Amino acid sequence: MKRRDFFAGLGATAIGLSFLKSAMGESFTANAGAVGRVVVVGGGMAGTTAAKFLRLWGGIGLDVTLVEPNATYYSNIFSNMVLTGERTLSQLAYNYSTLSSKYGVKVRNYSVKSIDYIGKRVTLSNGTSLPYDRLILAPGIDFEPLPSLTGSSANQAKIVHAWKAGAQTTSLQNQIKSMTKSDTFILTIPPKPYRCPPGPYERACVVADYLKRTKGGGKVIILDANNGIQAEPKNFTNAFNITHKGIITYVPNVQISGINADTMTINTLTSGTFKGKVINAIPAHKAGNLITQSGIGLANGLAGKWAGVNVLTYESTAVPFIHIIGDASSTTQPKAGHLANAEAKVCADAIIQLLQNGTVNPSPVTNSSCFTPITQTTASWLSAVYSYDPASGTMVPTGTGITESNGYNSENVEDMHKWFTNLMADTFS
Amino acid sequence: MKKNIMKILAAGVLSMLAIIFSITSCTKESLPETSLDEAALNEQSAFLLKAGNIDLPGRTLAANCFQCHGTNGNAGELKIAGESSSEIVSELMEMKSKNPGSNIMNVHAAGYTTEQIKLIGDYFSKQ
Repeated sequence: MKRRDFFAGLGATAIGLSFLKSAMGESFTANAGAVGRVVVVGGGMAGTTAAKFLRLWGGIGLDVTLVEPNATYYSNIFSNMVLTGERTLSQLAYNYSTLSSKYGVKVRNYSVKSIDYIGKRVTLSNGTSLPYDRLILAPGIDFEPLPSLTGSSANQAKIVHAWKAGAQTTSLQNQIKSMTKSDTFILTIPPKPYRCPPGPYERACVVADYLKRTKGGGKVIILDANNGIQAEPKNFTNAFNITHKGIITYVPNVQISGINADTMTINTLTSGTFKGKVINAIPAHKAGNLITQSGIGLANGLAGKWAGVNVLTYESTAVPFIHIIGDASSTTQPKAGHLANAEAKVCADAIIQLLQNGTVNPSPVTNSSCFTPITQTTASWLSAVYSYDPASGTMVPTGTGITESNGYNSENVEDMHKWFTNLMADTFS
Repeated sequence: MKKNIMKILAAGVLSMLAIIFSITSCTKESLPETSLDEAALNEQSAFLLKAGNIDLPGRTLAANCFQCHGTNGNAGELKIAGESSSEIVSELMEMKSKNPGSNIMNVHAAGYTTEQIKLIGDYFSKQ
């Protein structure tokens, strides 16, 4: 008998199982019903939320393992404020101890070596082989190489993206700290889709604010590969033209031909040459290597760089029993931590239903919300509710659509801190 | 009632067989290296039982509120767990027609149908 058939049969007798358990004097979750093994790969916003809610909603009949090579997760959200010294990296550190102690998720600090999608097993870097009934992959993003980066290796090492919180964040923080008011900070934005649509514009704002506050001025040049501001266009236009006037210069439609790290010069095909003291180059994105290098066709989404999924379940459209959530998947929703948390819940709920032969929710709803600091004392926000559209098979913005706040103010700063604290708690504890 | 009990008993017997198969199957395949012991599992299941009424129809909709209002609405600040359903529904219905950019909650309220808002209210009132 195949394992999957067996579990399907067992799922059908879920009521009986809970009856038996209570008859045996054991406590058992009222909501239990699903039985099976789920392996979750990737302990970011998506993977961690999925592991937690599989257990919270699915009960102890679900054997949930989280595979994540790092013992500590550094939040990308708020990491722009590490650049300006308003937060420290250690304040953005989260771990998986609550996931394990409170929810009984087995945490394995290894990377994935291979996926056997026919035998339904994942082999880890330590040689352990984990069987699964459902596999969730949440590897986030990886980067394409920068176009023609030249210069000594020591100088090349100064050109960082700092688009994954960690050592590069510290490097960029130190480089910004060493600037004077006569220096220029150049930020390059990759073509969409990239992680956190408002993020680069937010970074330009907080760096401009920092230079003004602590250095008495400076220059920030934004070289955007896109044809315009990708998120909160009204608020960022005001921020660039009014609040940070004289500091921020925004250049859209930029095609970079080369970056010389020795002279800190960026050559473009479209907009001339730019020279700075610090170059913060964010390369083009693609799904995490686990997707693009899987060798089993998972990167069948947009431009062959992202994972195509069915947004009712987040199951791969290429390989059955494998689900991809968060930034690595190709959907109509933004690549962002809050939304990844929402996707993870839809995926967890669907997997619980699939493991007990239940009905998958035919009309899932997700939401995206984020707060954006514009200065040290003001913030804006961006929000949307997405609903499943059966005609297109995609998630579409509903209600008021993708909506930005009417300007930025200090009240939003208070809300921003509550949002961050509670979002991280809903994910990690 | 009697019928249901019979059904549950029958299902229980099937489950007993299933568990026996399960044990055999686990022995053959060997469990992942450090499976939790029985005591730890019971402790966790006790927690999960206390986690509130979570198997309600509004669960997946309400989960969209958890990011700011806490898992099951139990955030330290912005807590909404235990609020009356009518209070939640009337607040959200009022927000639906307000200027969206003036408050982030107006955007959220506008994203749900009246029916969905009722399910959300019901969910948090029972936490």
